[in-house]
Amino acid sequence: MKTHSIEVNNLKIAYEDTVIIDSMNLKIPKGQITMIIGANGCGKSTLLKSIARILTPKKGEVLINGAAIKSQAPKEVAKIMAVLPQSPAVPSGLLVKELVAYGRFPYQSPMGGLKKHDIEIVDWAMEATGIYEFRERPVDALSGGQRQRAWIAMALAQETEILILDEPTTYLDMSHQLEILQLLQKLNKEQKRTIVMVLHELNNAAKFATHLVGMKKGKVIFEGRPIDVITKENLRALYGIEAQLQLDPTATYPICIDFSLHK
Amino acid sequence: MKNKTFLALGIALLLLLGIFLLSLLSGTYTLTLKEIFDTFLGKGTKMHHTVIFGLRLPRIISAVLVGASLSTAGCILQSITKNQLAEPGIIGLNAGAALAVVLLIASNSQNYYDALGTHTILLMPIVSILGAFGAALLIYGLSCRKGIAPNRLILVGIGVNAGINAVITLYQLNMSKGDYNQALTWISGSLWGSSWQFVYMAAPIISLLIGMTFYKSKVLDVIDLGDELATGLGVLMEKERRKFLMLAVGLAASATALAGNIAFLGLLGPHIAKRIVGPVHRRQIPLAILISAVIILLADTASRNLFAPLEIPVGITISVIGVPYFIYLMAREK
Repeated sequence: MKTHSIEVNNLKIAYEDTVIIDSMNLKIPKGQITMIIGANGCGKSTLLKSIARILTPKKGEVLINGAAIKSQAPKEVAKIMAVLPQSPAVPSGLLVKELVAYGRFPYQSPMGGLKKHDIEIVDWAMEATGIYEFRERPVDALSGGQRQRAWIAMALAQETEILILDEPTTYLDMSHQLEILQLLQKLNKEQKRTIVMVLHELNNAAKFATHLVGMKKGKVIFEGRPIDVITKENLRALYGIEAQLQLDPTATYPICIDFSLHK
Repeated sequence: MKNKTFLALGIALLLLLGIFLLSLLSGTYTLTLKEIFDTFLGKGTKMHHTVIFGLRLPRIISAVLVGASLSTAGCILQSITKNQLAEPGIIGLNAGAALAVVLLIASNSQNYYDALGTHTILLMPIVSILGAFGAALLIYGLSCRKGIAPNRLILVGIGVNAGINAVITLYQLNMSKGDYNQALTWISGSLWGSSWQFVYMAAPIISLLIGMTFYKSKVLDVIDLGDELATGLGVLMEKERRKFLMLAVGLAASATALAGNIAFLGLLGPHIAKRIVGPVHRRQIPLAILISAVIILLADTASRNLFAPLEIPVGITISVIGVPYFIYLMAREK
C-alpha cells in the first residue's frame, strides 16, 4: 500500500514566458481530503490543471499511485482520477442523466451503449448527489447548486479513487456550500476516496480538510492537519492578514472569527 | 428521449420521401406518380426513363449526399470549435474547394467560348478536395499557437473565407464566358449538371466519412464538455480535434465537389436537430443529415421550378432561408 496518491516532483509550469510554479514538490496523501488554499493568482488552479493533464509541465513530473502520468494511456488515467474544473460549460439541452452517463466514457467502447454496470453506477451517482429526481431535466435548467451536484455526479460516475475539484463551492450560497462539502466528506469516509480540491473559504477548508496545503507565489509554504497549520503566523504569511483564531467546540479544527489586513 | 428520437427520425424520413417524389414529379417535363412507378417497374417510355434515371435521380441523390456531408461537417465543427455558428462554408473550407476548381477551369481553357473538357470534369473532385485541405491547413496553421484556441480558429476561418472569395472574384474577371458560367455554379452552389459519375465517386467517400464520424460520436459528445473535462475523461484533445477537423474537411470537400459552395446548410440541419433531440451526437447527426437533405432537396426543387426555364443556383435559395436563421442565431447568442 502506498500512502500517497499523487506525487509532484520538481514541477515547473509556465504560461508562455510567465513562470507560475517553479520546482515544486508535493505529496498528496491517499484516502484523505486535501485542500489547497492561497491568495488569488498563487498558482493553486495551475497546480490542479497540471495534475489533471490540462497543462503540460515545462519540467518535472506528476506521479499517480507511483507511476508517471504521461506514461499511462489517457483513458486508463481517467479510470483512476476524475477532474472537475471550475464552472464548466453545459451543452444546451443536455439532460442530467446524459451528462452523468458521459462519466462512463473511459469505460465504453466506441459503439457500445451503457451496460448494466454502467447504468447502476450512473443511477447510484445521481442518488448519492441527490439529483436523481432531476434526471430527465436539461442541465442548463437547474439551479447553481443542483448543477454543481450534477457535475459531481458525473465525476462520481467515472468510478475513480481520486477526485480533483477546482473550487466546487464557488457561486453557491452557504447552505449549498455545506451540502457539497458534506457530500464529499461522506464519499471520503465511506468509500475511502482521495479528494483534492482548491477552496477559497478558509473556515470550510479548516473544517472539512484532513490535509491542508498553503500555497503562495507558486510555492508550498505550509502543509499538514488544519489544527496544526492554521496559525496566526501562517495566515499572515499566506494572505497578509491578522487573524483571530479559536477552536470549534469539539476542539478539532480552528475557526477564524475575524481578521484585519496586516500593516 | 429514445421514442422522441425515433419519432423525429421517422417524420424527417417521411418528409424526405415526400419531397423526393415531388422532386421526381416536377420540372420542365412534368411526370405523374403513375408514370414514375411504371418507369421504376421498367414499364415506362424511353423519355420517362431518361428524365428519371438520367436527369432527376442523380441530381436528387447528389442533393441528399451534399446535405448529409455538410450537416455532418457542421455537427463536427460546432463541437470542436465550441461555436454555434461554425459550419464549413463560414470558415472557408467550401471556398477553398471552390477556388481550386475555379483555378482548374481557368488553367485548362484557351478559347473564349470553349466548353469544359472531360478530363477537367473528372479532375474536379480531386482538385476540390485538395483546395479544401489547403484552406484547412492555412486556417489551422494561422490559428495554431501551442494548440488551437477554438475562437481563433473561427475568426481566422472567416478571414480566410473572405480572402479566398476575393481571389475567386479576381479570377472570374479574367474568365471566358463559358468558363465564367461554369465557375459561377461552383461558387454559388448548384446541382446543375449532376451525373451518376459524380455520385459513384462521391457516395463511397461520403458514406465512409460519415460512418467514421458516427463511430467517434461519443468523443464529440465529451468534447462538448470543454477541453478540461474532456481531457479528464481521457480524450487527447489536440489529436482528436485534428482528426475531426480532417473529417470535416473531407466531408466539405466532397460536398463542394458535387455541388459547389453551399453555405448555411451545415448550420441549419445540426441546429434544428439539436433543438429536437438534444446535443448527444448519435441522435443529433442522423437527424441533422435528414433535415439538411430535406432542406437542400426542397431548395433545389424550388430552384429548378420557380423561374423555369431559368434555374437559380441552389446555394442562393438556401441562403434565402439560411441568412435570416443565421442572424436569428447571432441575436440569440449571449
